[in-house]
Amino acid sequence: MGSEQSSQPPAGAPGSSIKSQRDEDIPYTSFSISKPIDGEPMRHSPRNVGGRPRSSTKEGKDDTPKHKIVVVADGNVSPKDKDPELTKLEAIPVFYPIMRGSLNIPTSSRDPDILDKLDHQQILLLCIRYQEHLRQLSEAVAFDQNALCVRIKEIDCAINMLVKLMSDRQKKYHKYAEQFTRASETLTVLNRVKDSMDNIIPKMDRLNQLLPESDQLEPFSIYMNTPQTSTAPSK
Amino acid sequence: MSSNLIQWNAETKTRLNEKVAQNMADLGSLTRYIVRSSKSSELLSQAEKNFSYQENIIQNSSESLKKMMNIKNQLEFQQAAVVRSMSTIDDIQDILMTIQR
Repeated sequence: MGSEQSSQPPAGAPGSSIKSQRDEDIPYTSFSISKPIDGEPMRHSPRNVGGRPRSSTKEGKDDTPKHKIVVVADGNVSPKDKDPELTKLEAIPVFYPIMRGSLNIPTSSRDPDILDKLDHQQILLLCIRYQEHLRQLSEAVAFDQNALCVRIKEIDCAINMLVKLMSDRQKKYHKYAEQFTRASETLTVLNRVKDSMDNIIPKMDRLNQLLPESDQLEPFSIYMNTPQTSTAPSK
Repeated sequence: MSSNLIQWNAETKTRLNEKVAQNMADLGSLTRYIVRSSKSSELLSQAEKNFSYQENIIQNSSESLKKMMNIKNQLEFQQAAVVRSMSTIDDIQDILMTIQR
């Protein structure tokens, strides 16, 4: 206790800022309290020498009032301003790593399945398995897409064939329709001819009857079996 | 001593940063290796290229389908014309019969 010659003198010595209540009443001398073990000569130590540096690491009491509570050690002093990164780290919720055995080692309270080391072979197999998984997925997708491409090409082929068929048929029917319209036109012309003939035939018959009997023609008929000898009636 | 602490903190922080960055870089390179060696991107890009070729083919198909619709309309017109001329032919045949008596 007395062997330290540091800057912090022991309690009760004149240079210390820590004084107990007893020190005021009981006239201890510094020599009796703080006997140096190595036999250093007696320090000149009146009580009120203020030349020694006062230690400032520990908080003390006020000097002047007598009966005060002495603070020997600090309470919970708030630490200096925390690191912003440290606060961020502490804000993260607590989670366990994969190898829980790498945290701390209470040897008794551990499950048998807490890992200490990772088997590199198994990790390699895991990675290879994942790689295989990715490859198979991409192969499946590529396979489906290629099948779709083939189907699209087939359908396009079929559509083109159908279009060709239909255009051929359309051309044929166009020709047929043209022939039909021409036929119907000629038929309408023939119809008009027949109507006009219907108008003419009674007049021809009347004219024929007006002729003398020797010059009369046969009755007019559409079907010409024998060539008619027509003599224009002279008026 | 507090300045010492601050110095120590900076040193540990930089060391931790480096370690973490190294770990992340290693993980990144590992995943990149896995993805690349599984050749998934190459297969998928080839499939996409083939699919994009089909786009043109699908365009052609849709246009020929529109042509087919036009052809169908024309066929309908022609069929109507043929039916009309059939009816006129029938009428004309009747008139012919009456004229010929």
